[in-house]
Amino acid sequence: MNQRLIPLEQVLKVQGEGFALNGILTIAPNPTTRVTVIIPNSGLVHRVGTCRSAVRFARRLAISGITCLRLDLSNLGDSPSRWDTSHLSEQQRTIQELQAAMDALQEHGQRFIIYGLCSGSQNGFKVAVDDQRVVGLMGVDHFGFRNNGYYWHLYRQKLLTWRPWWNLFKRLVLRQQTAPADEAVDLGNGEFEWQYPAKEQIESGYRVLVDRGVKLLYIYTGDWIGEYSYERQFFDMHSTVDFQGLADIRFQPKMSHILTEPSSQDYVETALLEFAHCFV
Amino acid sequence: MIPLYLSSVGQVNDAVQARTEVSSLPDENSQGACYAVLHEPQGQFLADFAVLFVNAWGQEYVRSHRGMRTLALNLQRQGIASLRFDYRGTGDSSGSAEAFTVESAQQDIHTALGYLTEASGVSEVIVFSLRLGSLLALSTLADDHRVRRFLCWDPLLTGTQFIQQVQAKAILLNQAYWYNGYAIDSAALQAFAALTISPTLHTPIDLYALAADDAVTNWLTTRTQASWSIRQFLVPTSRSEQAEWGSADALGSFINPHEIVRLVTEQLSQESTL
Repeated sequence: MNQRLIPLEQVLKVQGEGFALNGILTIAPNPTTRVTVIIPNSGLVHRVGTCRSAVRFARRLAISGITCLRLDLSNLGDSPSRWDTSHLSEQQRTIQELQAAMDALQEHGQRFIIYGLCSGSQNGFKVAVDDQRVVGLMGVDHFGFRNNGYYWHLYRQKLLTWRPWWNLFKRLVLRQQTAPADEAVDLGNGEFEWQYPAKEQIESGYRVLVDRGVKLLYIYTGDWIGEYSYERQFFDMHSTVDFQGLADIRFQPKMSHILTEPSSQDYVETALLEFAHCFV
Repeated sequence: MIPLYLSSVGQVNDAVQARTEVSSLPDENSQGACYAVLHEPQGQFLADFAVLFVNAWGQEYVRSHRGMRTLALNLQRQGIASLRFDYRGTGDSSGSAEAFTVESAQQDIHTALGYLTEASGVSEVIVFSLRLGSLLALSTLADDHRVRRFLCWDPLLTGTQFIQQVQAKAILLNQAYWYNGYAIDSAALQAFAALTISPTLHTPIDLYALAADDAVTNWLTTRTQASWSIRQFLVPTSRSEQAEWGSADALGSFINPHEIVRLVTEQLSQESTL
C-alpha cells in the first residue's frame, strides 16, 4: 500500500451538555469529498462494529477519500452513561448525541452519511429526519413491518422445505418440548431497550427525507426473517410513500444479521463505498 | 516497542468531563500501533501496583469489552491504575485480521506492560486476562518479575483448547479460518496451538469461573503437583455469563460479569490497602 494512502486515526471526544462520547476518527489522507460517514453502535456492540466490520469499513472509506467516525453513543462501548437530568426521550438523546458528533466534525465538512446496522441504522434515520446535514442513509436490517406479502413469501418458502413440517411432527406426535430460548444477553443495567416508532411516524419521516432528496440504501438479511421476507417488501409496506427513486432496497437472504460471513462483509463494504461515492 | 495510541480516562465520575488526550495512530510505522485506554486514579491514595487487562479474541473480545471497562473504572475509583489495550489486528488497533499472530500479540503485551509501569509509576502489575488472553499472558509474562499475580477469567490454558474451539465451527477460506465472523491465518492458528506456559512460572495464578473439562483438570493437577501457586474461585454466575463464549446465539451482544467484577474489585481493593 502506498504510504501516502494510509489513513490517520485518532480518538475523538464529543462533548455535549450531559454527555461525553468516545469515537475513533479515521481521516482520509486524500479527501475526495466533503461528505463524512458516521457509524454509530449496532445494538450493544462497541464502536468496532459486529465482527470488526465498522473498523474495516471506516479504513476502506478513508483510503478511498472519505473520512469516517466510529462512535460510541452514551452508555455503550467507552462512552459513559449520561448525567443530565433532562427529561428527553431516548430518541431525543440519540438525536442530540449524533448532532453533537456532526458539530464536532465540522472541519471535515457539513454533509453526512450515516451507516448503521440494526439499531445503528434506525438511529441514523431518526437524526436524518431532524437534521438537514444528513444527505444519505445506509443500513443493514432497518425497520421492518410485516404485511400480507411478508406472510405469503415466508410460508411459501416453508411449504417447500421439510424442516418446519418435521418440527411440527416432533412437537405434535413425538411431543418433544422445545428448549427455552437461552437468555444469553445480559443487558447490564437493563437500559438498552429497543422499540420501533409508530409506522406512521416512520413514513412521515421518509416523506421528509424524500422532500430533501436524501438517498437511502437498505439491505435486509436472512436473519431479519421475523420482519422481512422478500425483496420488494419495503415498498409494499410503505406503499403510501413515494420514494421518487431515492430508495435502493436489497434483500440478501443468505446474509447474516451481524455479517459473520466474509462474503457478507465484502458485499456491504462494496455497497457502502459505492453509496458514499455517489456524493462526491 | 510498538507505539500506543491512547485514550485516557482521567476522571471516573461520569458527570465530570473526561480529560481529553488525543493521540493518533502513527501512519509512518509499518509495524502499526496498539489502541489503549489508560485509567488514571485521581485521588490522593494510589495503590503500589497497577492492573494490565489482556483481552480475549473475536466475539469473546467484543462481548467482554464493556465488562472490562466496568472493572477498570471500579479499580480507578479505588486508586488502582490500569491499562486496557487491543492487540494489533483486533479492535481499534492497526492492521487487518492477519496482523494478529502469536508474535504480535506477545509483543503487544510487552509493550502495554512497559507503558503501564512507566505511566503509573509502579513497579508491579497484576494481570487480568480473559480466555485466549490468559494463555497469551501466561506464556508471555511467565518470567517477568514485574508481574505480581495473574487473574484469569474463564481462561484457555492450552493452545489445543483454542484450536479445538476454532476448528469446530470455522470455515477455511484463502488460508484463513473464519470463526464467527473473525479471520485468523491458518499458520497463526497452528502457532497458537503450540503455545505453552513455561514450567518455571513462579507467579501466583487466580482462576475465576474456570470451565474445567478433563484436559483442564489434568493440567491443574500437574501444575499443582509441580508446586505452582494456583487458587480457584468458583464464581456464582448468572445464566448469561454461563453462555458459551463463542455461541452463535448471542453474537453481537455483550456480557456484563457483575459477580466477577465485584469479586475482583473487592480483592484488589483489599490488596491495595495492605
